[in-house]
Amino acid sequence: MSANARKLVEPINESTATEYATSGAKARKHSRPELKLVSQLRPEKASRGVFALLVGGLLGAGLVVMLLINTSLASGAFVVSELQTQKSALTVEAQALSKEVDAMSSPANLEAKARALGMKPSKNPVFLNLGDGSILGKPNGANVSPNAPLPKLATPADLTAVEAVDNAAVTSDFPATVGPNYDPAAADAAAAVAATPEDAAWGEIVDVTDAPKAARAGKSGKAAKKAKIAKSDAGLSATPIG
Amino acid sequence: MDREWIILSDHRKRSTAILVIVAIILTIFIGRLVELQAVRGSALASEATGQRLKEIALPAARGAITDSAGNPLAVTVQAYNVTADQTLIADPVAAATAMAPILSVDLAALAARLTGDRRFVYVAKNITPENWQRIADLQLPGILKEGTSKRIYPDGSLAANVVGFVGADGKGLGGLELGMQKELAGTDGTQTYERGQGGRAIPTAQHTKVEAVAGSTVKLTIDRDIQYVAQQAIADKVAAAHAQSGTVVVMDPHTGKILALASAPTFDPNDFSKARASDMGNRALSDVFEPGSTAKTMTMAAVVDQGVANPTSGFTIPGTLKRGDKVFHDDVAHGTWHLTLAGILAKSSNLGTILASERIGSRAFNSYLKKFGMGQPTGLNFPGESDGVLPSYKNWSQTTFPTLVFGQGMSVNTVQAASVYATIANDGVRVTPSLIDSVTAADGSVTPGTATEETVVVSPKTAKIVRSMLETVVSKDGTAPKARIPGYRVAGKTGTAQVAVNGRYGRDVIASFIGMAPADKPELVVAVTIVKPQVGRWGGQLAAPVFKEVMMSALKTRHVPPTGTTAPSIPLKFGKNG
Repeated sequence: MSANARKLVEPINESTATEYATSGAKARKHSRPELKLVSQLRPEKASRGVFALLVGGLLGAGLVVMLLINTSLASGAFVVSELQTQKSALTVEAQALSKEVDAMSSPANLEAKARALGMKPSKNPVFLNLGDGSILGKPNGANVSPNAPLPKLATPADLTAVEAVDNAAVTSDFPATVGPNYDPAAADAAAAVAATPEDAAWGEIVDVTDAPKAARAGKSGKAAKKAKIAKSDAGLSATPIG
Repeated sequence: MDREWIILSDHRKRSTAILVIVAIILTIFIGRLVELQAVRGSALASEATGQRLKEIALPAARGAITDSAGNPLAVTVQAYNVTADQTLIADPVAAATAMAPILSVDLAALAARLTGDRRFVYVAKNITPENWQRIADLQLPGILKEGTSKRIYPDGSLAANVVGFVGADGKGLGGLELGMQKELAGTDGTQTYERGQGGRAIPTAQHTKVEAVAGSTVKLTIDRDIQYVAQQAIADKVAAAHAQSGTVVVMDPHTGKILALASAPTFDPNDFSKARASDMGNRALSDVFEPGSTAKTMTMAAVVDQGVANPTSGFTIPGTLKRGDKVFHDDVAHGTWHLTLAGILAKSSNLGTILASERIGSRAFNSYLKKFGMGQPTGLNFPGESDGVLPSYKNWSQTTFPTLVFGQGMSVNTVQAASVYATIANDGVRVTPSLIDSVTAADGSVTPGTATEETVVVSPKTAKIVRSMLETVVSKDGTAPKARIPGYRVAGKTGTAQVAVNGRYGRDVIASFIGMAPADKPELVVAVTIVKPQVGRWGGQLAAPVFKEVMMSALKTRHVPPTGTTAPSIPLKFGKNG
């Protein structure tokens, strides 16, 4: 009402003003407030309906949300149990595979595989000085007679494995100097090994030490410090592996 | 009026009556409610949840045992038990025929197992998941699985005497499986949840879960490759010599780490049902023996360390020596020998050792034996370990001292014997042996293995002198030329100790060789013992070749190059014979 009154003074809203004037005239004519009360009741009734609708709606929405949450929880429980089954299946698979790897990489199996390829255990430990190609230790051949049947040809996979070993070997450092007790006989023996391809092919596997141990092999620390890092091609040419 | 009252009173009466009845009913209801909710409430509620609540144990995964490079020596994997509900099996013979090849069991026995009216029987235990899958694919009614775990040893008997074995319940029964049971086992967890129809968890209901803590991974100091060679070498020699048993110990003298601990005959921990109990222990730690000549190294070290003799000091050794009430001999009968101290060790003369030891006296000698760790625990705490016996000094008789100096009258295990040589190799400092490199808990925290203790036993100079004396043993004139490794300087000592039976020495011996390489800068110590060989007898003949094979392999595996130096020449004889 007061809003309408305020609107009255505003000249722009003419229609509202007219309406007010009309109703004001009616009120004066009948002078029965009961009728006004009824008209007042109407909006109250309507707000109750809205309220009921609101409450009902909230209740309904709540129920729907509850239902959704429960459904998603239930389906979540299904997913959890499904994933757990999947996890245990994968664990089992991983275990089976690592079991296979363990069995394949066991020393006993590796030895059998190497022997099947015609390899023999090297005898004396021999170390190759990559710096000057000299030999530490006394090499000896694996005594494969030239008439012995050649082992089956290596497959590409085998060669890759051999290459890997080679690469591992040539990346090692080694001092360029040898101790004063350098044994010319050993060098000769090494040359002999390299000269006989049959022996060389299946004979000594040259062991190449890592730098700290190699440094100890050199007579003095100074000599070790001077050690050149062998280039891989130099190392390969000096390696008497067949 | 009267009538009206009656009606009124009737009306009142009626309502009063109704009120009373309602009150009574309500009182009963309330009473029952109070009884159910307040009096028996909690009991009933817990009974109800009890019907829905399910508690399951979450078993902790047992930790793995690995070698020094992390290669697994013992792991736990998923396995299944196959169970059957006999009432559901219509045709037991057909079911058995289908399953027998997968389970590799007898068909008739399996069919019998499936026949009957029991609702639950075990058909097979601990089968692999792959085999269970094959059985599941058969879709046999009444055949069910039960999840379990199985301990497997991927390398079979490799290091089996160190790793040990577990029983049917998965608990350690021998070796480190037993010794490290607490660390390996972990802590079991529990899970409680309310289950709905079908056994699935009710998501909104109460749910508690205490996760299992997996067992720790135990990393050993053992190197798988050296261990393999050591085991092969000793097994071959024990078989060839028809010996009772044999052991090999490989040690890093600087750290005390045991790189290989082999025992022959051995067993397969994956299936030890037919193994002999004596093959399942660790002989290198549990079996003690009189060290014999290998103990002379301690005597020599003591004599040199006390400064009363040097390697070239001369000794005149008669054919026999009487000490107390006993006459001592050498292994070979001889007239008077003129040997240097080095010669006494190279020829392994008992009498020469007695004469040399008398220069320092029994009290000093006893203290050296103690510092070398004789009669004391190795510190490995290995199950079934024996400490050996060193007679208490106050009980020494007149013959005890001259007997002990050449390694009789006391006992050691192979690890203790190896530790003596490791001390000489490590410039006189004894580092307690260790077998556990580290223990890694489930949360990733790493605990180092048992702390090692260092004891200074002899001076570095003494150690160096003793090593050069031990080099003469593997010379052409020594007792063990077979231990020589071309290109390397090797130092070591043979032993051929008689085995005492009922207080008397019989024919049986324990042949041994303990040595190190390179002699001028030792990186490795290898000890070999062969018990009661029937073919061959001498340590230099039986044990030295095993030493050589294992040492060569270990030098290659550990990348130890030759030092390139030559052994000093020490005269073994003196005077007119020399």
